[in-house]
Amino acid sequence: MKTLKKQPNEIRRLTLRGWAAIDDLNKGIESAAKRGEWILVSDLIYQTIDIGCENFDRNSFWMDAIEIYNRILQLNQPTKKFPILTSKSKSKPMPWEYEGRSWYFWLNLFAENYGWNEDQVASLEIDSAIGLYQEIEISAQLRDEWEWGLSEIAYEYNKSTKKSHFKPLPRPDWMKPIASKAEPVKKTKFPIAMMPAGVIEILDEDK
Amino acid sequence: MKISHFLHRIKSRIIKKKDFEAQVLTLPEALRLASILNSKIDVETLDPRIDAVDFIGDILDKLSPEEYIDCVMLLTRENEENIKKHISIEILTALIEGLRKNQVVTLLGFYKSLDK
Repeated sequence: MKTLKKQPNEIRRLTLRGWAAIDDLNKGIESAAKRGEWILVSDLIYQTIDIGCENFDRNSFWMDAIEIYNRILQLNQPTKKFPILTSKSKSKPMPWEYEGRSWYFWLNLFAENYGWNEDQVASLEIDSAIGLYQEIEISAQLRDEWEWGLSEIAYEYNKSTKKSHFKPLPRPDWMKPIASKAEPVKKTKFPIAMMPAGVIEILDEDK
Repeated sequence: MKISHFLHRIKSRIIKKKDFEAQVLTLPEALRLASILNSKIDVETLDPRIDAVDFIGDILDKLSPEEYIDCVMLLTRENEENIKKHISIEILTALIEGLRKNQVVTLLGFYKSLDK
């Protein structure tokens, strides 16, 4: 029986499960680098390479390792420009965060919203996962806005005007409308009747 | 007899020289080297037209004797005792060759990108 021989250093695009693992490893690399734990950094980089590529020799030249690492990260980026990924707000680390949480976050998200099992979620494509995540967030925000509009706290009472004003529920920055570009100033012609009357002398200082 | 003895001495000297060559480093070794050299070289302000002699001289001026030996140990994978058996020019050659083989400027650039 013939067995397929895989090429060394064959890099593949991962499914959601692998992508979540790489995401956790990247966070680990960042925190280990801040602490100056370089042995741990290199070990985490090797773990990332092992996920995204097979037959990698850990005794390779460091530049080869980094090249493969960068290729894995580039290949496993979202291919679409999702607005949810452009959010500039940086969330503070929450007390319930821990190493390896990413996968459980994604699993819970899709199981809760669509009733999918672990295998179905694990086999999702990266773009599909992020696109669906964005749609879930949009639906949740619109639902919250509707519920907000029905509550009293949405209508702030102004003591000076003695009126209530609707205060909309804030949206995350990636859901806010994009400011339109400033229009160029239009040149308008004045009617002759509005022009100053009388003889107009143009003083030419050169003459 | 004398000729064979003489040839044996030359051969052992050549083999000895080959053993004391700078090696290409794996990732953990390279990061360890970068952690030593990072404070000695500022890659962001480094002039790409800088002369190699000036570059090496600048590094050597800033390295302490312990750091110098650490770098050579990393680059040659030899212990301190074996390194000190060689003459100083051989040690320096190994260091320079090691920095060249391991693309030290690129390494430090990568190290800095991780450290940010």
